[in-house]
Amino acid sequence: MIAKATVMGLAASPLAIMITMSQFTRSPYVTKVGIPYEQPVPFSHEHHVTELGLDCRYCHTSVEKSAKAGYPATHTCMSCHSQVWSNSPLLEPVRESYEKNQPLKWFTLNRVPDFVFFNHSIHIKRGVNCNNCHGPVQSMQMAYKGRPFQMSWCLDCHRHPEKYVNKPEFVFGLYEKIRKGKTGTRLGEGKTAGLTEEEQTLMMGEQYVRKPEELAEGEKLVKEYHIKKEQLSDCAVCHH
Amino acid sequence: MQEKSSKTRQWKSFAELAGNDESRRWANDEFPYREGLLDLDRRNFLKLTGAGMALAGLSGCRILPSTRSVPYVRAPETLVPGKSLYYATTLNNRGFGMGVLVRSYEGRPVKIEGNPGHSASLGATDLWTQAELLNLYDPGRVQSVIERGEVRTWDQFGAAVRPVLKQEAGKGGAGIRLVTPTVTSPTFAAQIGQFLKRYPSAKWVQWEPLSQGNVRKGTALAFGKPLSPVYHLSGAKVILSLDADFLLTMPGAVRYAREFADGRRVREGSTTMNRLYTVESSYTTTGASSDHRLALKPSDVERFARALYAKVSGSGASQLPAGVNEAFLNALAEDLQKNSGAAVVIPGDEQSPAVHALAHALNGSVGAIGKAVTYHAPIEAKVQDQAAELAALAADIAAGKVTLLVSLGGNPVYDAPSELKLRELFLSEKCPLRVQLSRYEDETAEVSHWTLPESHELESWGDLKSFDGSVGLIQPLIEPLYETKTSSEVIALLLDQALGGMEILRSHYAALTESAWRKAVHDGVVSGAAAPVAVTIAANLLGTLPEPTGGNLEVNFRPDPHVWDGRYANNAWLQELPKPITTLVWDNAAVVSPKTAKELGIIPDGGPNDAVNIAQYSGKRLIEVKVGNATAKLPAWIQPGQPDGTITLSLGYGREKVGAVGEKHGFNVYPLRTSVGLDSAVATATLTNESYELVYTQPHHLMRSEIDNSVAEGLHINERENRDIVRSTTLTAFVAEKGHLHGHEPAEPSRVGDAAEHGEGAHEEAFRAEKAEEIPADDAFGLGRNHWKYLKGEPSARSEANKDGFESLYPEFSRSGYNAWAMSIDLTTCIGCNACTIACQAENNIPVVGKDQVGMGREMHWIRIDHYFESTDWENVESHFMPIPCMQCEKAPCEPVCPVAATVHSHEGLNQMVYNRCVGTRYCSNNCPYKVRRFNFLKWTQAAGGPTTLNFVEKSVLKMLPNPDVSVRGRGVMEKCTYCVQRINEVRIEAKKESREIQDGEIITACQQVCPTQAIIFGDINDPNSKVSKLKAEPHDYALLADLNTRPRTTYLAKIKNPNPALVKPVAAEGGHA
Repeated sequence: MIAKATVMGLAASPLAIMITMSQFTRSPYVTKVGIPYEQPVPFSHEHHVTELGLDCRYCHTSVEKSAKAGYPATHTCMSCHSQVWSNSPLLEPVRESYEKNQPLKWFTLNRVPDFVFFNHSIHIKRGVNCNNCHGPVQSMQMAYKGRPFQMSWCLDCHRHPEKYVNKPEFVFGLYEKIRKGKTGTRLGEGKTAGLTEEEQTLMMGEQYVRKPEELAEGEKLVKEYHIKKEQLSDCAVCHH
Repeated sequence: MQEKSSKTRQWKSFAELAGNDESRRWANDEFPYREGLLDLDRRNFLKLTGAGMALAGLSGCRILPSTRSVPYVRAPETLVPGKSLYYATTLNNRGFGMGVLVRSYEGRPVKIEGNPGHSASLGATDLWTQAELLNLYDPGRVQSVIERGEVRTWDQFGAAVRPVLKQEAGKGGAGIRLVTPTVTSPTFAAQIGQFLKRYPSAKWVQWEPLSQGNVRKGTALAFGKPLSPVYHLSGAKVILSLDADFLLTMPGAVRYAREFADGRRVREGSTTMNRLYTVESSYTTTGASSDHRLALKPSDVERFARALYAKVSGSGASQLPAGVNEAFLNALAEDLQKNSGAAVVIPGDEQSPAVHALAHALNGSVGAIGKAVTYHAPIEAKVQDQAAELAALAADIAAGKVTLLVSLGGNPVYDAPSELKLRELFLSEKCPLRVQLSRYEDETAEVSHWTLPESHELESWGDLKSFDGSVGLIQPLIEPLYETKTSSEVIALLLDQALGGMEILRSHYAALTESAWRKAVHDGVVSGAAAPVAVTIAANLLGTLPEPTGGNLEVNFRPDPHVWDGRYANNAWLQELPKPITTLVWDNAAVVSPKTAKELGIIPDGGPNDAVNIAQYSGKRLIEVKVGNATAKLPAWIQPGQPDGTITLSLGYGREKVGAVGEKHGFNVYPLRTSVGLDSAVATATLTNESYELVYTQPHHLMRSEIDNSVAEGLHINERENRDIVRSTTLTAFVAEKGHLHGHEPAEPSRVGDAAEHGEGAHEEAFRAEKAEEIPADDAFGLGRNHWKYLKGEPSARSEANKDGFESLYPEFSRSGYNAWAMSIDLTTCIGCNACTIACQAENNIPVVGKDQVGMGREMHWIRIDHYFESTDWENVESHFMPIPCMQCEKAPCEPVCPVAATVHSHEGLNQMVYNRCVGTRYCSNNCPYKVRRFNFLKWTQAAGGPTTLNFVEKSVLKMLPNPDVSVRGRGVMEKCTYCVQRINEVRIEAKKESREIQDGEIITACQQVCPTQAIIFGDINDPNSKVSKLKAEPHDYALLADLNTRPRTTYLAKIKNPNPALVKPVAAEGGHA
């Protein structure tokens, strides 16, 4: 009996190892999804975006123009914090950076490998909301990585853009809507008034599955944008 | 009609002609010399394979290393993160200004392009300008002030030099000597002027081993004053080069190449093109691009010039050099005179002043002055007899008259005339304080007390004159990487002026208003070309010139086509770039003709087959060359086309002190060079018993199918399909054949049985009858037309394609709905300058592998310049250059053989190479008929031995070099030309953001952008109005190895030459290559 179990176990072990490995590579231990890092300054996106209503582009200035969204220069922080919270000990690193002309060094949360070339601007232009890739940024007290950035995940949109494209105003308009419609004190919880189901899901940082009529709307946008679907999964679109 | 002999043969190397083991090795195996790698038995092979597969799975578990993002403290106003900015500046191109636009990515310069607004560039650049980027990040640069091996500061240097200056001030600076290269910077010249005002008895010596001295002396002979000629080749119909390499090495070559090429763009309907005669004493790219080439000894070039002048001016007769056909002289003279007003003679910088004087006089006789050539005030700040000045300096040092010697930017100890024995003089300590400002710890720095680190132009403020006297501004792209200063800043320091580079420059241009100054900095140009001066030719010129002297065996000293006078020796890109004609890498050689080689005993005289002997001995035996009492040993390279009795030695090699890359490569020939024989000298040479191994790339990447005609017949390959790789014809033939391109000749009959076999006979016949008028007959270029027929039509034209033998097992590639990228390369205007290879290397992060690895065929260049000789025998050769990037075949043979789909097609027709999928089987490379795929045998970007350019691990400054838009490849990965897909993507995204189509000419590949002659055109063939579509519709467009049915997107325009009808030899009765 034991011998039988051993033999069976041995036979099954490669499979078990493969399953374990494949699960391991998808676990947050590897992908770092949902794990906040300690940053030089405990910056809260929730506070700045949802409570104060800052636009994403106030800090990430080049997100519409360039491949990179850009990190804010210390000067950007100081444009407010020379007046507001100007004595807060938490902001000491910012003041020090500004005075000593030494840049802040942030831990990079969202990163693609060196052989992947991602361009923010074109995705924004196609109405892909920040939260699609970065999770519920507007409710993060400490920023964390929202999505695993694995290739099959990228390809889901690159093969079926109709599932994700939207009107350009959808990208930054969402946060204004969330701000105006918020009811509770905690964000990202419960329903928020005035949001569509898709917006609600995005707000929660979850993946929304579009209904057939929404997909048809998406298809229309794909046409309008002249998106060539087949081309989107050409290797050289992202790898060169 | 004069047709070229059909018995000529194209060949690449003597090994190929000889059919020896070496050539077979290269023909049979793309990467020979790797037997050791496969020394495994079956069991071990399986073990390793199993382990490899298991471990490969684990590599997927790798966690991305954590990195930091570092934003600015105060972001510059114009900077958008992730976007490049371009700045206009001027780079020092071998002493002259070259206007460039430099791409700056987040503060670091990453690519250099030409400045369309600068007269020396016109938007293109050359290989040296491209390589400046690596010079900037060269880890071998001097990084601090050094006093006899000890690190010091600039302040300490100032403290050391000030007492000496103070002491000298009392004597008017009689003990001070400044040594600089030729100064073409107005600001620096003004500063030296200030210095000489403060120290009126000090002396300033300019020394440049490859100077414009002959040009100035020649114009002084002809016109009574030193002048600087500028050529205008746009309207020239007949050009004669008297040993002038005006397409590659002469100042202004980039512009000259463009103007020359503009006169040679033969298109359907063209009936004219310019004609280039070259009389030269070594084999240069200019000679290789000419319609008629005559190889003569250096002294015979002068004799030829005299004879030609006598003939053209009718002023007496002069003896032609031995062996020169009178008919050639007569035809040339007649051609020049017939085209009076549109003819020009260009003398070479290395030819004697007499040749220059004669050339200018000839220009006067054929009405070129004021048209194809204008004369201007000299470019340099002071015209000096440099060798004499340097000799005076050496004498002063020997006499103990020099107390302070400041050398700014040159390397005289290495490159001064050998009889001055500068090194010994320096070491004799007769001059108590010697200072060398240099980018490297070079030979002069080694024997100087102080070594000062010099800034690169990309870190400096300054100005430079270009070949035509226009002044370009230098502005820094980056803060100096190290504690460096420019020559200007050092002079300011010696003058005790607390001025930075920008203040020095701005005060020189104090007359400019702020807005004019800003415009000048923005444009990179302060002022345009200098105004020409009027000239009158001296009377009885021929009588006043001295008779040329020469000997049985002469050496001529030439700049190395890549490392120049030695200043680029530490640049690995240039070292590994195969030199034009010889394709040598990492070395120089003594170039001799086959006949001279026989006389010197390098190859046995007689013998059954010279080609076999040459293949066996060329580049393998050392000869000892003796000039006066000086000797140098170096390997003999046997080069067809080299004049008999002439040994060409290229300068710049055998560096003792320069940096890890450049040291101990090649052979130093400066010891043979004296003040009286700077350009050429009478010499003797003897064969030694020693051997050496030169590495050259000529036999690599063989493409020719070795099908002989009988086999071809059996395979149903007609003679046209098995034709030469480079197709060429003459202008006369081109014009004549154009006549029946649209004529009434019936289409080529289909092969017997073809139609029946495909069961489409009836349809095809109907099609043929209907279209017979429009289908052009197969012209001189064979498959070219057929190929275009296929390209033009959508796959619905399949039956038409089939008829011409283009049926394929694979499905047709559909181009509809997408941009269809394609390239056209004009072989008529390609001058083989290699700039595209270097530009591609800079753009695409291509590593360098070192001499040994190149010897194994592992060079990594994505675009190579193939060089074919064409000849009936193996001595009187013609050259053809052929740039070979990836052909981007629509039916790419590399794709079906990849087991992991790492190379696949994009919808825009690119054959994509996916590095992250590649497992390194190399099947794709094996299956590529064009041999354009490159494999990373080792981890070139990390310490793998060899002079790797991108060695980030050991030399972290090189982390700043790579293009951020291109992956850096690791070991075991295949790579190849991508048509610069990163540039395509960038433009596509911008166009999509603006909801518009991509415009023709908006995407420019790196090779296209750098090309001085605009031989490479890239674009969309789905747009019938694009440049590339129009070029592909030309009658002489053809696809390389079209019979393989790969449907390449890169096609070529056949090479068209314009020989003088009076000189075309009758068709040779029998070819008979050895």
